[in-house]
Amino acid sequence: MSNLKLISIQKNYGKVKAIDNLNLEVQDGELVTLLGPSGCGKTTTLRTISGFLAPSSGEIYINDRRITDIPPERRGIGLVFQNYALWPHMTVFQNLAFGLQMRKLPKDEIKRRVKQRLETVRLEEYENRYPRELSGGQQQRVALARALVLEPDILLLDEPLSNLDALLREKMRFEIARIHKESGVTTVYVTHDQTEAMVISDRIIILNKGRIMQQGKPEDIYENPANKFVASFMGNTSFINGTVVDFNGKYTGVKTGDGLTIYGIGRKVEKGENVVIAVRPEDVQFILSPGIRREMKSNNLFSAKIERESYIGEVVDYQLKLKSWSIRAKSAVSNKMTEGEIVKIYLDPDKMPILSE
Amino acid sequence: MFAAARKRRGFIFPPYVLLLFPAVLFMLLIYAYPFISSVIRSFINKKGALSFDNYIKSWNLYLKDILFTFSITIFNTLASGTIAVLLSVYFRLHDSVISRFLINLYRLPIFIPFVVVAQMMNGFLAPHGLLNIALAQLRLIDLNNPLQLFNFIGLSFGFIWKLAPFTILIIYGGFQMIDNSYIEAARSSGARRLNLIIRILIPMNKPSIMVALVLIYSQIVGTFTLPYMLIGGKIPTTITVDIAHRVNYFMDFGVANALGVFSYILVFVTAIYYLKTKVREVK
Repeated sequence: MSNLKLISIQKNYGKVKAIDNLNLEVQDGELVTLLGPSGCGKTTTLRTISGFLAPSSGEIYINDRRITDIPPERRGIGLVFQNYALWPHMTVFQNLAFGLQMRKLPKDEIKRRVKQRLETVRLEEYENRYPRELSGGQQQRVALARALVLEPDILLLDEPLSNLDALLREKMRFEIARIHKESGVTTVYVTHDQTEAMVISDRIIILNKGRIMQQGKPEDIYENPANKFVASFMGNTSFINGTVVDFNGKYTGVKTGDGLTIYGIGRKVEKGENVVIAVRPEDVQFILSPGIRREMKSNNLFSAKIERESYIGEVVDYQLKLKSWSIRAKSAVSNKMTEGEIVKIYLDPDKMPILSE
Repeated sequence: MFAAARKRRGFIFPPYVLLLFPAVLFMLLIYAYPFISSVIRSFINKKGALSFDNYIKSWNLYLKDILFTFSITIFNTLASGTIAVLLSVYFRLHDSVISRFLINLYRLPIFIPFVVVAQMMNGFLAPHGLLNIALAQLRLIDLNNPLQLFNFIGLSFGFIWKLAPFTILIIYGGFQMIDNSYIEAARSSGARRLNLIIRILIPMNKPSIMVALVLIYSQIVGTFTLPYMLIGGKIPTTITVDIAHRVNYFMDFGVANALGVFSYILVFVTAIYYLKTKVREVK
């Protein structure tokens, strides 16, 4: 049973606040992902938890044990690095055994635990190989096994998949999710890859400029972004700016500078307020036959021009011109449209979050 | 026609190999010719006949000096290496005002030639030199009975002062190449400082450490000025002083060459190791 608590963590570099009053609690067995762009403070947070950076202020607890001033080697934290950091002069077995030797465990116990962890990551056959004799994916799994073999209270993973190719990265996402489920270790995962975060996380924390922008389950954050930054970070969201002009009970009407009125779901916005409408590519529906068009609600039906189309395999990716706004959309390959074509689109108001600017 | 013949024999001589010519010629003239000629002349006695006379004479007269050279080389190589590793580790793991000051300071002796070092050591280590006076001021010694340092100890002091910085330059460079993540991985695995140094940092930097040791080892074997100015003709002294002595006072090139061959033998094993390491690096 391990939980992690960060209370009012602040990390300053001169006048720059790398972490700004961060409060975070990770429950036992939970996998929480810190997601954000470069420089948002996610790696700084991870290094603060691991003890390689001292916070300027604030407290860190593991299982109610204050660890703020405890050196990294005594925190009971397992770390997996972006570059794997496997010691090149040691075999896979020796890499895993090192930490156990530091704890002065008996040789038989070390052997048993190393073998058990190598089985978890499905690398039993590779114990006598050196890191240079392994592929990137295998090295990553060894790094994970090396952290897990110590049975840490908390496991920290710092962009562990960013050095892998796209195919392997996708495979390893599921592998990490499986290993986390099997080991049940409380985990903090750092990435800038939204898809990766969605696949493996129990909870996502979006960071920007050292502050938490939003936290919640992946689907909640994706469907209900708290602000423009979160919406822009989760998917290829397009934004349309306007002013709130209408409430019709359920939906909020927003009028753009070029005369469009778009309805969406507006929370905490007031009439006259300048807002942005977040439009996701998958929420733009193409109206391909007049029959279907008649069944749609009268609002949010627009004509748009196809500016660019890109075939990306399973779907076609479009860039549409809606008055002066550029928005992204996707459609099935069977309905492929051509550049320059004028199409009818429907923006489902239930899926158009209206956010404060 | 030649091309066809070469192809038949499976030998291809690309024209760009000619680019190596200036460097190879330089090596042949400056290094290989004197080396081969001194080896040959070491086997020629005063009557001009092939014999082991020079080696027998060298062995009988200078065995003590050969052993002295070997021991002072080994001792100073290991001492400079140890000091260099310890300081380099300190520089790598500590970022403080003191470490930054030392990082800037340690390089200075590299730029001071051996002859200047020898002169400095002459003044510093002399019976009434700075060191003895300072120790006397601290009442640690009696100046009427000062420390005699123009021997193994004084020579080692000079060698370490001059060569440890060069060794640090190479070894610290190697430590700087080790990414922080390797150190952090070890620390998060529970390694304290000593284990981190012995089991992670030194093994990961082994090639740099070995290359540094080989380079200073060869340098110590071949250094003339420092032992000449500190010890001179006293017994025991180093091979290089004996070579100078044989040539200057006896014009005995045969024994001088034989002594030279002994010093070649001393560096031969380390030179092979150095070459092997470099070839492996290139591969």
